[in-house]
Amino acid sequence: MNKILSNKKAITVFMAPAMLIIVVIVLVPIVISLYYSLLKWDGIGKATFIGIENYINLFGDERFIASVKNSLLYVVLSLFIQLPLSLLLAIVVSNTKKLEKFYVTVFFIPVIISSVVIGQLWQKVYNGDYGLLNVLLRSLGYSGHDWLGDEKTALMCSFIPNLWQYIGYHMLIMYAGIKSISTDISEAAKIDGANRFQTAMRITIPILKPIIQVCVTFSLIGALKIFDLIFVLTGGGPFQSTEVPTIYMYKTTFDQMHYGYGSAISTFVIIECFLFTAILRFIFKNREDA
Amino acid sequence: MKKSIISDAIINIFLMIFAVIQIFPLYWLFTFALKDNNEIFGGNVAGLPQHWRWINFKIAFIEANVFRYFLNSLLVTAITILGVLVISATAAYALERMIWKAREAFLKTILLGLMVPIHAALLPLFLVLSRLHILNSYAALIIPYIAFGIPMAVYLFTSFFASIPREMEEAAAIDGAGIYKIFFVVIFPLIKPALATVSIFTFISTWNELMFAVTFVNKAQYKTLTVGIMSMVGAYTTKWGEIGAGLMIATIPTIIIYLLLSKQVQDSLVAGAVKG
Amino acid sequence: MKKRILSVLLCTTMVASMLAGCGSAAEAPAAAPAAEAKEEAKEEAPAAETKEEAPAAEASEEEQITITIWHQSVADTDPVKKIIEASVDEYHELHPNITIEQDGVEGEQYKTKIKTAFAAGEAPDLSYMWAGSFVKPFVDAGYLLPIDDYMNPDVKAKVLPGMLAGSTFDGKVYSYPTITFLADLYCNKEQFDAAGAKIPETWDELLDAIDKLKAAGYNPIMMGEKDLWPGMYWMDIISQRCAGNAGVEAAFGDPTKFNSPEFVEAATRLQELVQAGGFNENYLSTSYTEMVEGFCAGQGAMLYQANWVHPAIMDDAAATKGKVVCVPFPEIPGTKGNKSEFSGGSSDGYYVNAATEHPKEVVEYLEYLSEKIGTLGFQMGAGLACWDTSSTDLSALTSLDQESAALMEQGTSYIGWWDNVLSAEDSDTYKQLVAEVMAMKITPEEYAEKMSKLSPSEFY
Repeated sequence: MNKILSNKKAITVFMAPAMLIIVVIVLVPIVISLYYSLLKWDGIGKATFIGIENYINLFGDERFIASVKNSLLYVVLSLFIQLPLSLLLAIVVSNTKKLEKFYVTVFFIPVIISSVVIGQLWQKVYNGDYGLLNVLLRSLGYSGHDWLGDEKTALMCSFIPNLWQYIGYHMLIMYAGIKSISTDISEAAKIDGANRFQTAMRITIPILKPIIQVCVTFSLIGALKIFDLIFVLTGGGPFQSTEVPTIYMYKTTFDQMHYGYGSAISTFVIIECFLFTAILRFIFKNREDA
Repeated sequence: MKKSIISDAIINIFLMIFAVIQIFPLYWLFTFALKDNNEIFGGNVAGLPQHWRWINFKIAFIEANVFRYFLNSLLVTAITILGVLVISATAAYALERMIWKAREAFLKTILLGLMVPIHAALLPLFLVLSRLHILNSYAALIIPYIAFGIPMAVYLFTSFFASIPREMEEAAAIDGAGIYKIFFVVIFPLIKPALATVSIFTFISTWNELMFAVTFVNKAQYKTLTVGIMSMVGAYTTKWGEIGAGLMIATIPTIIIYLLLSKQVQDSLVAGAVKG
Repeated sequence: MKKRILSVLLCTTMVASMLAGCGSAAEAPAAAPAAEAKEEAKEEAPAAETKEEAPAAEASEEEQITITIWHQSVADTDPVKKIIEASVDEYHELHPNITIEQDGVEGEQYKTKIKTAFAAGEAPDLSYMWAGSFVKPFVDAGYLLPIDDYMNPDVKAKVLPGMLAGSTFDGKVYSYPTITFLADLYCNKEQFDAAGAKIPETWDELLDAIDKLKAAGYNPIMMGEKDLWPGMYWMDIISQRCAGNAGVEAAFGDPTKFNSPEFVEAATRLQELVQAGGFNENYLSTSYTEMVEGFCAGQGAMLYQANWVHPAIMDDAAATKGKVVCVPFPEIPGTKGNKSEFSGGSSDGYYVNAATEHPKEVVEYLEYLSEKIGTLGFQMGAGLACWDTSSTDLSALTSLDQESAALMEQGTSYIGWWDNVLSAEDSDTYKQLVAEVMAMKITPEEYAEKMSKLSPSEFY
């Protein structure tokens, strides 16, 4: 068996297409972009090699640091609000007798709608004049608010649609995990007199750990690369209050024409993703050993 | 017993409210598609249109060249899905099941693709495609789509393979099957649900992709539906209802495919989930 | 083991060759196209000689030429789209050996696409370029071809005086103008009448109109500052009123002059409008589209924008159709500026790739197309005239188009949108500062001080 599975030729045949395409389409651009990050270049004219100056400037750039802070806040929200909510939904849905499939199918729908549509919708929700949220508040006797125009609320309000859109996604993965737990285990727990909450805390969640790791990884990488919806909703404004590194990168590269500096930001994002996933693996591994 | 019925009812009410919220975008898009600018920007956000402008759909069909671009999108998406499935499944099998040294390193290299901010890749990728002389062709879209679809697919497939008992392969090996036969005849049919999952994720990202589609293709004959819809955004004025109609037309296939595949997706995640 | 070394080697050489490729492209892009252009000129010379000998018709039959053009006129609401599309067939009929391939991409995406294509050496023969600081870097990098040598004097003569200035760099002409735009104040007459307000001609009348409109329950001015440039248009024109166009031009050349009482006053005036409650409360989260469409849905009595908003205002579905007048921005008594000074007047155009294989034919098509857009586009209300339109039938123009065309004739001095005049980076700074002024985050003095730190504009 092992001999069959160590067939070098077969490994090459199986790996070659994937590696070829990944190297050419993903790795080569990363290397080129790394090279750009060492240039002072407007993307059009003459470029000068300046070594790591872009990176040095990056860490003295308050706007950049603020954008990193914003994205880290979003990471925290995804991990500690979005994922727990998804988990809660998954557990509750898996306990409903009727309509279970209906719920699972419907909750996933926002994931399959393009972010152009989701962005337009939320603009109409938040609109300071006639937005749904303000209409609701006014009908309850409160005054309206310019949700995306006020620096204090814009960041949170631009995060919420992102958090909401992918709740169904993580719920689906977790729901699948819960369903894969053999019913014997939960039946046994019930006979032991555990209520639903106890069953969830003691049985379901620990068994779900590998699944949660998948969700946490996807959620983390997704959070660090967040772009589309914020770009549509606020474009990073007002006054850069909703800027995240990817949006800042887009603006530096294509609006301000600092191609080299923009490339340095994207290198930062890649390294950031890589570091965080490594830390995650480490945490989950340690927990397993303990 | 009574208590549990009441709590069930409360839970169901909450779930129903959430279900309404989740379906709301579809309803909203549908009404948006039937309005004119005056209604859309005049404050009629969630209501039904005053005049049902079905003509928006007709205009979207003609102006966004929906029929042709639709076929292009379908072709590009179908080949992309096929490519991602075959390439990722074989690679994932080699990475998860087969025995060789640099597995971890290769897996990490592939997963790197998940971490690239897509806008940063634009110019470098354009250069690569231009050197390969495949700009302005279906390949200019299909190849990058496959490349950026592989990492997620490999991740899902490896976890799925991990959950398949080794006895299956061992039995086949004893019967004298070679590695290719084991993979294509024994293993491949077992991962049908995972194929469905990867298909739908790949479908969603490919079908809705805009930036590559705008940048890598200049000829109308290769353009996709998202580009066609965006071309209704005018420099002077934009009829948003017609764009809504275009978006609605583009969303319908997504929903159909999702409904068709969702049972398989749910099953695949159940099976693939065990090992994470 | 050997295999792996081989594959690693393969990958490295591939990366290396690509890096080398873009390295040289990045380091010497200015040299490369120039050299290519020279080579072409050499090739062109003997070709021209033979052409002189042989009958012209024969020469044109011999060579089949394809000219590619990229533009941003995509929607059916854009008259220029129809002109470009029609020109493809028309031009092929006129010149059977020439085939035009056109491709349009929506504005924002076009910007990203054209920059990427030039950087990668995959740009078309002709490309749409926004005037001023957008096209300048492409000129500086040597990507674009000066067309002086190819221009037909008869066609050149039809361009209105001064209109070639916008596409002239270092004394060389790079393109023809097409149509131009002017920013005016659009007033919803119906709301003004209902509020008993007068269409403002001076600053005090503007403030008075704001009060009356507010009292009558109308939002005085529609503003969309989410996209930053709508607010910039206000600061542009108020500054031009306060300092006069000449004063602004002087400051572009020497930004330290921004730190002067005139520009402090401009910022103070803008804040005055904010404090008077002139703008919609949610202006910071309102996009350009929401601003224009909101105005067209009756959510504001005034809009200061360029005349490209006409089709939206005059749309059959718009609440504003036939109810809007356009006037110059109000004068501010006691300042250097006056009503005949305008914002706008620059023209976007189509520029020739320096690496094109057929400069002569491309310029001929450029002349054909620019004149078509300049005359037909004007006739269809796409913008104001840059070409001699004395023989054009203008009966199809809407009342708004005619009003703004009349305003343009009164104009004595024009300054382009400031983000076309300032460099890309400075434009960004300026727009951010304007937003900060409007939100009262900085004082007018701080604004003027920060503006004085900009780099001198390359155009003044």
